[in-house]
Amino acid sequence: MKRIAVNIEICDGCGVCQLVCSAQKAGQWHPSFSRIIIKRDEEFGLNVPIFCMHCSNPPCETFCVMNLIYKDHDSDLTLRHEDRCIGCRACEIACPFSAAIMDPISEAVVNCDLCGGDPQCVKYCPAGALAFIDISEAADKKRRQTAGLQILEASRKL
Amino acid sequence: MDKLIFIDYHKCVGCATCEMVCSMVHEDICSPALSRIRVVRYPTEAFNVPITCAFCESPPCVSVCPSGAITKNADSGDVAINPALCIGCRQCVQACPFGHANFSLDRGTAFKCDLCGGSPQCVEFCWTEALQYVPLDRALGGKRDAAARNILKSG
Amino acid sequence: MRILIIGNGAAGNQAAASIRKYSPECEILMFAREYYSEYSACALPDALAGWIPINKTYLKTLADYEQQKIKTCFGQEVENIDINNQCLEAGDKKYGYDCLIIATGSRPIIPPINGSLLKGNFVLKTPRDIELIMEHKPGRVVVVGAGNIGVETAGALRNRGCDVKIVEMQDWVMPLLYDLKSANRIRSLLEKENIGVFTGERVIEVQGEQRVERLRTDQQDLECDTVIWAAGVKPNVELARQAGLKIGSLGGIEVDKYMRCTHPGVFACGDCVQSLNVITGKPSLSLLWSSAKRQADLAAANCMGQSYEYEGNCSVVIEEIMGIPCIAIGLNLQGLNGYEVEVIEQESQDLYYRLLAVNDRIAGYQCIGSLDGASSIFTMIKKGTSLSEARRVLLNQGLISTMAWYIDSRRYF
Ligand SMILES: Cc1cc2nc3c(=O)[nH]c(=O)nc-3n(C[C@H](O)[C@H](O)[C@H](O)COP(=O)(O)OP(=O)(O)OC[C@H]3O[C@@H](n4cnc5c(N)ncnc54)[C@H](O)[C@@H]3O)c2cc1C
Ligand code: SF4
Repeated sequence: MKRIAVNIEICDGCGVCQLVCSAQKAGQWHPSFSRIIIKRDEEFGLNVPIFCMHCSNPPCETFCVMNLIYKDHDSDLTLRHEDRCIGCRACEIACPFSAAIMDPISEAVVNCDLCGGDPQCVKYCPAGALAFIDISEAADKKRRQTAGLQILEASRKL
Repeated sequence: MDKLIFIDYHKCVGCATCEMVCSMVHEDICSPALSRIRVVRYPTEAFNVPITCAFCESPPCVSVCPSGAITKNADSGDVAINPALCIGCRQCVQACPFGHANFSLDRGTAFKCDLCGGSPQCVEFCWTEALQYVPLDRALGGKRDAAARNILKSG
Repeated sequence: MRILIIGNGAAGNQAAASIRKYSPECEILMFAREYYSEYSACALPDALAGWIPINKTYLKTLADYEQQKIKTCFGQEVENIDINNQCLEAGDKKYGYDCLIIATGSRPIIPPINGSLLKGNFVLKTPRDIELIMEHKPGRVVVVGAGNIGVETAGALRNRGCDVKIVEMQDWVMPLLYDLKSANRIRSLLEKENIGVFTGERVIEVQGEQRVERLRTDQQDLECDTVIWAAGVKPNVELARQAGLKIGSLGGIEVDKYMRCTHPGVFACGDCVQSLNVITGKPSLSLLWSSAKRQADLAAANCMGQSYEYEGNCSVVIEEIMGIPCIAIGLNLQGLNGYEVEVIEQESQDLYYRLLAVNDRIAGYQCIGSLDGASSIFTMIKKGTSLSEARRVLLNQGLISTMAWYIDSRRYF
């Protein structure tokens, strides 16, 4: 199962992902239409791209008063019947990451759908901070390249 | 936490017995991918690193969990996941510095080592004694002994 | 396995859907009073206002039930539950069960006063009520009760061009959700929309010959042709009481953390139960859509052999008045009565927020003017984050970078 992963250290907050997303998904060039949001922390100079995590038991689904959010059986994505949305914004509050956002024109709340398996934000990220990888592969990589490697190196020094 | 799974990396041969046992105990199937303890193998270096939960004092998985599903018990030191609260957002998987927190695609919830409720089966079945479930003092004592012996030998 | 569900609301349908996740096979029977399929009560004010068509409030078609393999017994009032013999009676027939889920929901309260049965008295609970109200052609409306349903209904009818007044018994609007200061802001928003707001007034009687002509309160007479009762809702527990299940002190069915009633094999969820508040741990009636669905999810899981605990309810109510978003999360000062409360508040021309903390723990949040940051506050309330922990995260680069959702809440701390 492939998902988007971020390397926060590399992201410099240029916002290209937001523009690409808004163009792809809403036909507009404006970050407020984007399903990927960059949370900026001025104090530390941090830029963290945030997007739908496609939770397995999504709280947004529980909060939706129109029952229009569903887990797609095959892809395990959290998807919506956007045409039924009444714009009450309950899912926006329920989502811990505020990754559900209100499209200012259609007034329906939307979330990332991974562009059907080819996320454009990842494709156009100039810094290479976004990656589209298999989640178990990502965990393996972390174990191998971080935790395990540190121990290996420490034992070499002995 | 008075007792912990103490790992002697030099003894581990990477046989995957612990992974098999763990997945058998928790998931009723022998599948290393569903094991809590995972062995990272570096074949060219002839070195194997079993990785399991460290039961950190201030665990990043607990802070990062947005639904309060992971909690650290102040008395026992246990870090546990409540599947009823887990929303399956995989933040803990990303936050764990060891890559220990694991995720079940079937159930849609995260899972982690629970020390088999007090008698870890991976330790029970580890035939090389690379894994030991011992109080911290004992583990360190053994290590000090070994180091002292080394010094004696070389001296 | 045969599972019976009483109720075709949010709770009943969520329970059925969750059971299907565990077992595609078992037999599910659903009973409901009405004939029609599931609808969203929360969308009714939008439909009343004319923003969405009425048929959009229906969430399912009868074919969807068939597809989920739910046998429907609609239009059948359940008359009796025999919990000792594990069966229930509906329409002269008996149905046995292995597991029963009670999701009988709630009904609006109409106080027994003179004239409350006259033509022109309405409640808002089903799509049928909207049709009735529109057939009546309301012109001058009094909405009794300024809870969230009352305020939304008033706004909706105002949008239809009616002359609308709200009468509230307590001293400010939405007294269960907001504190005086934030409620006053909402009041001025309502008044800007030309909705008359009268607080601290008790309704005495409805007057009129054939139909409603006047509403008398203890302070004045209000001329009107329509009265809409939004003075609170009451759990439907008669069936459960008759069956011998324990009813709690607040008038909801008593359930434990696993949503089990006081008799084995019987679960209850939704508006009809009383559950614990996530902040105070005291019994409370939740009466919200999201809690109904969450409870139903757990009831279904536990009925299929899991043992999942309910974390307790936490209210979230979002309102849009004159295009201004208002939100109340958790408890207000009234709900935190008896606790020492720390209040963090800030005010500007078009934004007002207040954050309530008890024992260093965030317990409530009210904001008029913006929804930004509300989701991180809600997450913290559910998670039980303390103010000091929130500050610790916000001041630590390493922590904040892994928990970027905290960033939105920076303005409060
Ligand atoms: C106008 C309005 C606006 C609202 N707005 C919001 C909002 O913005 N946000 C929010 O969170 N919540 C809102 N709510 C509350 C929300 O709608 C309820 O919490 C939710 O509908 C509860 O669902 P339920 O399944 O528990 O009960 P209900 O929807 O009340 O369903 C009860 C079911 O039980 C059946 N039943 C009862 N007794 C029997 C019997 N003896 N035999 C057979 N069947 C029986 C009924 O026919 C019905 O199908 C609003 C409610 C109203 C009325
Ligand atoms: S929108 Fe938010 S709550 Fe819903 S699945 Fe995505 S991350 Fe989870």
